[in-house]
Amino acid sequence: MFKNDSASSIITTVLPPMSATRVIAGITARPDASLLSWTARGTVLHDHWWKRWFPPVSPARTALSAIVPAADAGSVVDEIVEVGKLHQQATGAVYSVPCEHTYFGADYHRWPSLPHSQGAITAGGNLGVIHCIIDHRLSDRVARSAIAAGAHGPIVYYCEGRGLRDRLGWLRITKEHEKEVLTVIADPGDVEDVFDAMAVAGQLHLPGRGFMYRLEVDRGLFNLPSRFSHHHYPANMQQIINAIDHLAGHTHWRDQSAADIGGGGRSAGLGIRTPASTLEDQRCLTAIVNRDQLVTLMDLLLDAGAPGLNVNHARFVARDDEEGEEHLAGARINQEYGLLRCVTDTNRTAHLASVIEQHAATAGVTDLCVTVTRAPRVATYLPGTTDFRSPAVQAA
Amino acid sequence: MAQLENSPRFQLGARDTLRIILPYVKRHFVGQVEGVWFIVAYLVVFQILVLQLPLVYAAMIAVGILVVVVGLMLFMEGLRLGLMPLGEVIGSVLPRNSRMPVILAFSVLLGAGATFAEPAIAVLKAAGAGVQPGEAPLLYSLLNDFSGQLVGSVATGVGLAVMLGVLRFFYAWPLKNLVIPAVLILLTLSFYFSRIDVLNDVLGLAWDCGAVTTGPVTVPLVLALGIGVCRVVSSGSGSDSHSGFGIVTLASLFPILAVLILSLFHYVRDDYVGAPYYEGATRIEQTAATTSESAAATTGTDRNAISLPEFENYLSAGKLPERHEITFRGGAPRLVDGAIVLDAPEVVIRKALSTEWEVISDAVWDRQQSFGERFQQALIESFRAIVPLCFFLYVVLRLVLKQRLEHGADVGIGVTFALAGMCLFGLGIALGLTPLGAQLGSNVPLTFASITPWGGEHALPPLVDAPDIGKMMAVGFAFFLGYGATLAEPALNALGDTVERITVGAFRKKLLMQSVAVGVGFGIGAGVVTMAYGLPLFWLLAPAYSLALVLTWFAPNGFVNFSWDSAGVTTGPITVPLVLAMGLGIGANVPGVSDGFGILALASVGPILTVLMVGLYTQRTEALARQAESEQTSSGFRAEAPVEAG
Repeated sequence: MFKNDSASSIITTVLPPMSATRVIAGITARPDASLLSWTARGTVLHDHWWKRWFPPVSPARTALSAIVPAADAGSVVDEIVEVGKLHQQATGAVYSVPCEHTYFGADYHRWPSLPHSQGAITAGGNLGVIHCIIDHRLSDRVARSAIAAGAHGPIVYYCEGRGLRDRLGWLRITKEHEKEVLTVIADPGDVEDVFDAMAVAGQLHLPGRGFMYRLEVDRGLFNLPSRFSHHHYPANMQQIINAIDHLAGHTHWRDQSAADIGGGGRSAGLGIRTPASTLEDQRCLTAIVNRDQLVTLMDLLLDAGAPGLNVNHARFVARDDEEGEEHLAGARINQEYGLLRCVTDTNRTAHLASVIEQHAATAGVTDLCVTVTRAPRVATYLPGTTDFRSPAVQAA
Repeated sequence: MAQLENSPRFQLGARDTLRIILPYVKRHFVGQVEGVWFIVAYLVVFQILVLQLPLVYAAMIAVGILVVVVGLMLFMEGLRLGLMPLGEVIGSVLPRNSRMPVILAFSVLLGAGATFAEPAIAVLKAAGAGVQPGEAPLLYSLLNDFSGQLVGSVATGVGLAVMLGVLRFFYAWPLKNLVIPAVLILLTLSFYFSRIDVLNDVLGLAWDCGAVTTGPVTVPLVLALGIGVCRVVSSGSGSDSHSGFGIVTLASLFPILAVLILSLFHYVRDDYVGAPYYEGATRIEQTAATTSESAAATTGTDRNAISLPEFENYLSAGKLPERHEITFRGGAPRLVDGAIVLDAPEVVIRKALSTEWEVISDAVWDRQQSFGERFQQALIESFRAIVPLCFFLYVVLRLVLKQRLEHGADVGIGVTFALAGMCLFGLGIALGLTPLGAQLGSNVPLTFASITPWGGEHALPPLVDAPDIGKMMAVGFAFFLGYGATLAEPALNALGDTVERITVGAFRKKLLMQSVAVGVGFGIGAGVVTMAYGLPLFWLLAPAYSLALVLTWFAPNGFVNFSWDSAGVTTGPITVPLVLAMGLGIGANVPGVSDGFGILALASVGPILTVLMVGLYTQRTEALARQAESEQTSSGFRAEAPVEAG
């Protein structure tokens, strides 16, 4: 897709702020390593009647993201698990999404690849990460449905949507400015159910509701809780597994739990899925660009035909060096970056990629990195579809 | 940009445009109604059902409330589209494109300019309308002779506060380290002042100056500036995502210090009314004839006496006044056939006090209010509040920082909305909320004293015989007044939105607004207790602020930041007229109280306490949950997904 292509992975981790500081220190100790950081929150559900006026305070989280050469993804994930103590703390997650194509702009601060390579990465598709972009009024409902389907409490952060409304001139002031992005990482057995549950709860088949897509994850570890403030919730899968572990006294039972129940097990409430129908040819284009050049790039992409863009802002984090870092009165001045995401079919993605490659330098967008990853499943409003309870198939 | 001009624009017809605009307008209108309905309904219901008095100027009030809602809707949208993005852009560009002296100079000018743009002095003069030069000479002088100096000192205080607040972002000083010493100094000075009679009068004014400085335009601008700076500046090892707050806190504390120093200066120089070196024109013998709208307590039996002509009418025609009551007095009682018979009693005929059950009085519109004049006044005030500040910010952005404004058209639309909104808002308050508040404020003392109701002709007895119960009813009224008025405040709405945005939804706007509103309610209730029982202000202020300091010491840093800020935003254009009217009304009916100062200061300390308590509670539940989770996973079995394929 790109002339100067390289293989890389996007590694994303979600941690409590104190662990995040340790992880940042650990990762940026590597030469020329850098991360992007933004704030997110965990989910706390509330069921008491008075919580309508006094909602509980959700736990704060920090999300970190880095684009690393594919060969180094394993070691970086391991280091994050190590430093962030993700085995023990039960509050974080790390996952790595392999990118099919990557493009680096001239000024982008890229990771150096280590001289030795660790062999080819097999994308086993073990975990799935689901991103759901939805209005803030609906996010609670979707979060509940995800938890009820067996996932952890979603990690939420804000993003802005860009697209049709911005082309209406002054009417763009009527746009609701921010949407919430719910991120759920799920076990391979759960991910399709969770996806279905969220799509139905968010009524994504209706126009203007939102957008949801799933990405493949080739490696990761997640230990994220769902915190309920009321005991009437059924336990989630993690809590059930922990309880059985405790009762059985060992974890070997997990290897023995193959079950094949006819009918997909729905009558037993298990919902073991028949193979899901996958979508053809959906790609997720992620662009990381310096905030000063963000608007230029967005206009470029929208003009080239991107159906819509989601933007969230992040802070660039690297080792505290004197050169290249601005300081003022002892405080460091941060660089801000914007993360743009666009999910569309392969042909259009290829077109957008070529537009970027040809025009980026001339338009003055050089501090940029673009990656293309597969998005096996997408849920959104499709003009012409009447019933959405079957998985969405987006027309080419 | 060439590409923008070529980008396809969709041309929408009128109907489609309407389809997009109408839901947008409806959404925001309903949102504002949700904020305002409680206070309006509460005031109306209290007047009609509890006090059993008719509502005067009902039509004007109704129109005024509608105008307030429309104005609030436009103003909040104007903040979101124009003022706050402007502040945030400047905040994020300032550290990068300029040096420290420029940043500090800008901060001082912004703070001082904001004070002149939204002058609180009119509010304070209204609060001090009943001050006699003989009773409180220094206070009187400060309000009348030295009012220019007063405004100047407040402006200096705010300017220094903004400068210190911006410096705090660079040097990563925790807000606790600034607030605790500052409040300790203020409390010590106040204690010294409370010992000296002349200076004691000024305490209420000084603490109220801090409460009223930051208005509905300044607060969002300053908040956005702080957020912008903190986005870009990370000082220390970890940046606290809640650290964009704090400027409003300092801008509420420093003016208090400035006013205390000013009054100390004049006290030492002895140049206030009645002191040897006084140079003004007032003599203590003259009584300053300022009367507030609530009439002084009339014991009210004069109007209820049967006059001479009415007596003669009775003698000649046997006609009694329309409402009369007949009672018996005296007579020798005998028990006859199971009944008490009185021999030769006296029959006393009295005029009954009027108990007309009227919901809305005949006067539905105040003829003396000129709509045009009020509109003009509101327009001038809104221009004065918004235009100079925005102009100053824009000039700084273009000339000093040399940065273009992205989406300049949006900001322009936003500023226009804010102007229109503020003008309508001011007009609506003058037409709607001020008469309503004045009525309620004057009528509330009816619970414990006999007064002539606002707009009424003769006096009514108190609702409840025991004055203590009546005063407690007044305190209860004050609590809900504070609660409801705070929910409608635009600056608090802006703070709530900002806090929710900064914490990415972890701390919801609703939680902040409800806790602040409850805190203000308690504060105003406490203020009314002070007034109703004539307690010195310092007795309630000192313990409240000391408790706030203790809670601040223990609370997590993030909460401290916006809890003290919420104190600064509460007393705004909706709360202040209502509270002042009530304060004046109660003060006129309690002997020895001359002014309405002090309630606002107590109203500011309440929200600090409630939000800090929410913070401590959250900290505790988080700790418990973390402990539960680590117990869950420390049993040695980990719930993990399979790691690493291949």
